[in-house]
Order: sequence, then structure tokens, then C-alpha cells
Amino acid sequence: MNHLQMNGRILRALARALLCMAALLAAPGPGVLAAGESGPSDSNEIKKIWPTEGAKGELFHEVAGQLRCPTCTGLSVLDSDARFSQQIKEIVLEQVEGGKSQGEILKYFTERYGVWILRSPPTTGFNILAWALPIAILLLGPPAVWFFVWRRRRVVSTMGVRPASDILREMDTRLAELRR
Amino acid sequence: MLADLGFYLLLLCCISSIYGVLSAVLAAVWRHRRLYRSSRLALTGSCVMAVVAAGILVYSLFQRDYSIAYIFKNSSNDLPQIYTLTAFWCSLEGSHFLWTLLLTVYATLALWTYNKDNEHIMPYVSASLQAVLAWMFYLLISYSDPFVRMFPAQANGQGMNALLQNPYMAIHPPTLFTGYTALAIPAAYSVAALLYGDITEGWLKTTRRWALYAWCALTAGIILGGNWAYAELGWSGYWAWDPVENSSLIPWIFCTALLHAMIVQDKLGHLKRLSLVLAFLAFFFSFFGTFITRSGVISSVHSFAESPIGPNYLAFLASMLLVVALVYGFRAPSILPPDAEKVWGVSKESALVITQFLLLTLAAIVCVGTLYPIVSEAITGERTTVQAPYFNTFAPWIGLGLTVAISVGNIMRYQTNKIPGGLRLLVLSFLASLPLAGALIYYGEVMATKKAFNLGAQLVGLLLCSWSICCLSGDLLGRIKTLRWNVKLFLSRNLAYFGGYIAHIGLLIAIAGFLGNYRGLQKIATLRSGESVEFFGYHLTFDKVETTEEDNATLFSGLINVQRNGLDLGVIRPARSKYVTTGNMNHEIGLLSTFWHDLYVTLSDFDRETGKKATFEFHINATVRFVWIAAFVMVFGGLIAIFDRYRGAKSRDTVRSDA
Repeated sequence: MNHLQMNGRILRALARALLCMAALLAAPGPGVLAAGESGPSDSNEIKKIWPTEGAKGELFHEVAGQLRCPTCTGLSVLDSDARFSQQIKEIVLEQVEGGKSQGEILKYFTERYGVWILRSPPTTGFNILAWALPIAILLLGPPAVWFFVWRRRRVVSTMGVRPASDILREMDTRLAELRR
Repeated sequence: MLADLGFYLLLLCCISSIYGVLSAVLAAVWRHRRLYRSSRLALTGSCVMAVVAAGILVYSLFQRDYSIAYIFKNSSNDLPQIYTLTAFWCSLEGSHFLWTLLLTVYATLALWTYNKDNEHIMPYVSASLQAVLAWMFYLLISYSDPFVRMFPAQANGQGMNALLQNPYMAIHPPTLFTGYTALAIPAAYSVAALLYGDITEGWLKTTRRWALYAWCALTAGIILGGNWAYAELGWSGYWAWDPVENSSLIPWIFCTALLHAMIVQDKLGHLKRLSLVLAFLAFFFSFFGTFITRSGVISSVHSFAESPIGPNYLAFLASMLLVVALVYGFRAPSILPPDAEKVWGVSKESALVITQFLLLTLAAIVCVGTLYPIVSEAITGERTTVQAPYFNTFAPWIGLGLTVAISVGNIMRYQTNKIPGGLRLLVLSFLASLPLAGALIYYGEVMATKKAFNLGAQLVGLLLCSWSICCLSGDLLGRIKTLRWNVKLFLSRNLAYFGGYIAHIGLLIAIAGFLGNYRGLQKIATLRSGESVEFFGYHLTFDKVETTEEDNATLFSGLINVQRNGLDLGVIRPARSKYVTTGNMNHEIGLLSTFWHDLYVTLSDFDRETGKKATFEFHINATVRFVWIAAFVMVFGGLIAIFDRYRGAKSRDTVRSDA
């Protein structure tokens, strides 16, 4: 499909941009835009204004906040004004005004772009793993800590090596026995 | 010519590091003092040569020697002086060079400032550090060579990425790299202790200081990075949980966990093996972050093989992990806790273990979230995205747990469940926190939040933060009181405790600052010249779009007059800058910063012909300044703690190495 081909091209450009940017090891670099994607278009047309008030405005924010900007790292289409994000926002606004629900709009996008377009993986299929792992760590962690720290506090000697204090104490008792 | 010299110096560094590893290992096996000294000398030599090579690169940058490909790609004739210097680390090869350079300097420093009590493990320390360095230098002369020539030399370079032309770029990468590379020293000491088979007398003292130093640098580096993102990227936030940010956060978390494990090790002699593991992992993850962000693997598994540096990194990381795991497996059983009585009850050491659990869980979640897209693509072939909403689901709960752990854990005592005056302290601090929380809520205008959940989160969070701050302060006052208010005496013996107190207060201020992200107030408006808009008590009047020429860019600034309550607060100028070399349009934000909130304005679009009409995005970002202040406080606390002379000075149960 056309969309996919376009995505591929953007991604390669993004990968190149990232590679250059990666230099800044940990410079927080959201919004690395592929060359030519940034900034307003060169026309004199003033951009559309997104609603910020009312039920529709809230729904728009809710949905746009859950879709990723295809050409940036780490940003939602809401926070980005790259060309693709603008187009996605226009579609979202159109559908919000058409009375569609949040689920329907998100479904519209996942059908076209795959779950990749969502900023967090859905809780279905293999992607459950992404959500289950942290929860598992949180739930199973405390028993594990209990097992390794509290329960084993008495077990000291391992592989025949003993702390010096143990050896000293043993020597003391043996000496005391000998003296007796 | 000079560039070739630089290359050969790096080649020599590589050779000398390899010699350094071999001689250090032999010195350790044969217990040969002079051989160890020669290994140390090899490292010192590498350090001098690397510094000279760096000097050559800096000199060539200022000479604008475009016969060096790196300079051609990252610099141009119109680049201002300061960015001519920062071009050193603005791209792959140069930042890798800076990493290596700093590592060499700190490694040399660590070997020369060693503690007599650690004498026996120094050969292992030297070997571990130089093994890493040898590989870094190898990369510098192979896949990541900053001195590659390009003929014929061009008259002008391609210019620097406009996003990086920001004063923060002069300080943020070196600070962060300082943290990353300083973490190598605790890691090397850990591996050395394992190889030697015991923790030497001075181990804790030395390792603790280096870990604290690294922690301060990481804290400062991360927040400076946030500052850069806030000022430069124009999306009104400072933290996006993107992979590059995450890979700087993970070593920070491990370093924090290490510092807390070392307290238990110091006081009770327990958690030694955990300290060893954490010290290694902190450094490992700073390397790992470098790998995932620069190998291209993060954008897609399939772009991984495009750059030869990726597989190289992977091989090195895997072998490093394997070697250390083997060493740990064989040697860890000889590192034992003492026979301390009455530990792990309801007491401070248990609270510290819970802190460890929370910190490591956070690290694990960040790690899972960062790596999940790669794993999922490799297994199922389906591309997924993991961004802020995912992390924001979990992180606040960990933050909540940490806040409680900080307040309760700090007032607990070691090896006993009795807290002198504990209940009184909890109640009094709660009472004292009410006015503090009230002030934060009232002056911060928290009630303006629209969504009920977000409002609740802020109220609970602010109350908890205030309670925690009062708890810690109460405990501090209690301790000074037992010394009959002799503050001087208290500080002379308790700098570590006091530094910790300041750092914790800093973290709590930061958490209070993060809570401001729940506010979410914004407005978008298109204004004609002279029109105004009301927003959160501000009266904003658009004047015109002004065009100015900078060094290497054209600036289109939308001038806005700001008034509040009839008071004229001046003009802010959100702008777009168009760079000559690349033609990209970048945001230059307009910011009116107060203690309680920032008015953050970006220029979305404007009429190119007349400049009489423009679209702006207005944001109110609450308590952002808290986060910047918190960074100072935390780093200050860490620095104070470095100067404590007593922590780790007497290890209760270490075998004397000079026996």
C-alpha cells in the first residue's frame, strides 16, 4: 500500500536522522524530525486551530494524545507540528466532529497503520507481555525479596567458606575445651 | 598532517591499553608491584595521548579544517565560536571520542588517587578499566574514527543540526558523559573485589565517593538535558520517555540503588554482593544505553546491521556481561555477610531493601518499555510503539512508594524496630505538613485543574511530599537536638547523613514539580495584529512578526505583550528560526517563567507576507521551576555527602589485606 511505502521511507530517513542524533547519547531528543518535515509549510495559509474546549475538544485531545507522531521520537501527534502529525490531527478532528467515539477513531488508525501508531501497545495478543511484565515484577518482587533476604538470613556458609568471626569463635570454643 | 597525528595517537592509545591490561593481569597473578606500576604508567600514557589527540581535534575545529570528514559534516564557516567547540561531541564519532577521553581521564585519576588499603586489588582495577578502554580505542581507530580524511577539502562544511545549536549543548553532554564514565570506577572496583576474592578495607570509601560523584554528574546531566528539550523542542515538556532519555535514566537509578546498598554495607556489612552487582550494572547500562541509541536498533531491529558499530557493541557488551557473570559465579560465594545479629526485622535495613526493590522495579519497567518494541518486532514481526502513556501508567505508583519509603525509612533505626519518639514525629510532621501542602496547593493554583483524577493525584501527591519533607526535617532536628543543638559538631560527624537529607529534599521537590504535569492547560489562538486573548489570568496582545538576521539563521519572532492583573510584564517573543545551511524551521520558544508556573508560548504559523497574523500555542506549565531547583538541591546534597570522612572508613568485617 501507498501508506506503508511512505512509512518505510520516512522510517529510513528517521533511522538516518537518529543515527546522527544518537551522538548525543542521552540528550533527550524527542522531536528529531526527518529533514524537511519540520516547521510550517511555506505557503501563506494559516494552520488549522485545534479545539481546546468542550466535550469535542477533550475527545480530540484524548485521541490525538494516544497517536504517535510518525516522524518524531517520543511525541504524540498532539505535541508535534510535523506535516504528518498535522494531517493525522485533521483526520482525527474530522472524525470527532463526525460524532465518532474514541474506540472507533483509534480503530480507524490501527487498521491503516497497525498498532505501531498507538503510543502504548494494546492489551491484546502478544502485546499483553509488555503490560504483564511490570505488573508481575511488582507482584512477585516482594515475595522474591523476602525469599532471598529475610528467609536466608541464617544461612551463611556456602561452598565451605566461612566468615572469619565464625572461625574465631570455633577456635575459642575448642581452646576452652582444651584448657578444661 | 595534524589529523594523521591524531589518528596515530589513538592507535598508540589502543596499543598501550592492551599492554596495560596484560601487564595488570600478570601483575595481579604474580603479585608483581613494578609490573602493576608499568600498567598504571601505560594508562597514564594513554591519557596524555588521548588529551593531545582531543586537542588536535579542537584545534582543527577552530581552524575549520574541512579535510577532516567529521568536521566537514558537523561544522560550517558561519557557525558561532561556542558551537564550533561543541561540534566536537555533536555527532557519533566525536561523542564517542569524548566518552573515551573522559573515561581515560577518570581511570587515570582513579589509579593515582588510590587508597593504600586497596593496594591489593589495584591491579585488577587497572586491568578492568583498561580492558574497556582498549575496546573503546579500537572503535575509535576503526568504525568510529573522528580523524577520517576527506579529499579534496571543501570550502565550507555541511553545518550543525540546528536543534543542537543551543547553549545547553555545551554543558549537557560532557556532564552526562562524566556521570557515565565515572560509573566505570565503582564497576572496576567491584570486578576487582570479586577477582581478589574479598572486599578490601578501603573499598567502600573509595567506591562510595566515585559513585556519589557519578550520581551528581548524572543528576545534573539528565536535568540539563530536560532543560534543553524544554527550551529547544517546543512541545512544552522536558521529559518524553524516549529511548535516549530512558537510557540515561537507567544508570541513574542503578547508581541511586548502589548508594543505598552501600549504606547497609557500611553500617551492617550486609548487601555486599548486591553492591557489587549494582555497581557493575550501573556501568553496564550506561554502555547498553549507548549501544541501543547509536546502533540504530531502537528505530527498528532491521536497521541494526546497517552500521558496523552495532554488532561490535553487542559483541563487546555480551562478552563483558559473560565475563563478569562468570567471575561473579565463581567468586561471589567467598564474599560473605558478617554474623550480625538482629538484622532484617522491622528496621532501617529492611526499609532500605524495600527502596532497592522500588528503584530496581522502576529500572526494570523503563528497561522493558524501552526494549519491548525491539523484542516484539523480532518475535512477532509486528512493529509496536512504547511511549510516554505506557511509562506514565507505572512511574507515578513507584514515585508514590518511594515517597512513603523515604519518609518512613529515614526515621527508622538499624537493627531495631524501636524509633525513639517515632509516633510523635509522624504526627507532628503530618500536622506541620498541612500548612505547607496548603500553601503549595493555594499558590500553585492547583484547583484550576479540570479533570477530577488529575486534581486528586496532585492533592494526594503534594500532601505526601510535604509530609515527607517535614518527616525528614523533624528527624534532622531530633538528631541535632540530642547533641544539644551543637550544629558544628553535628555537621563535622554527619556530612553523609546531612547530604542525604538535602538530596532527599531535592527529590521531593522534584516530585512536587512533576505533579505539575497533571495540570495540562493550553490554548491555541490565531491573532491579527493588535488582537488579544485571555488565558489563565494573562492578557496577551499580539503585536507583529519581526524578522531578524542572526549569525547563521533568520529569526521570525511573534511579539506578544503580556499583562497580568493590569501589570505590564513585558514582551515575549516566540519565534521560528530558519537556518541558512539546512533550511529547516525550528522553534524558539517564548517563555515567561515565574516560581509557580511558566507561560510557554510557541509560534505555530504566521502570515509570511504581511506578518500581521499568526497562530500561537499557549501553555501553562505548572511548577516546572521546582524541577530545575530540585536538580541544584540534589547535586548539592550529593556533593556534601562526598566530603564525609567517616562513611566507609571502618568496615566492620573486612579481612585486613595487609595481614
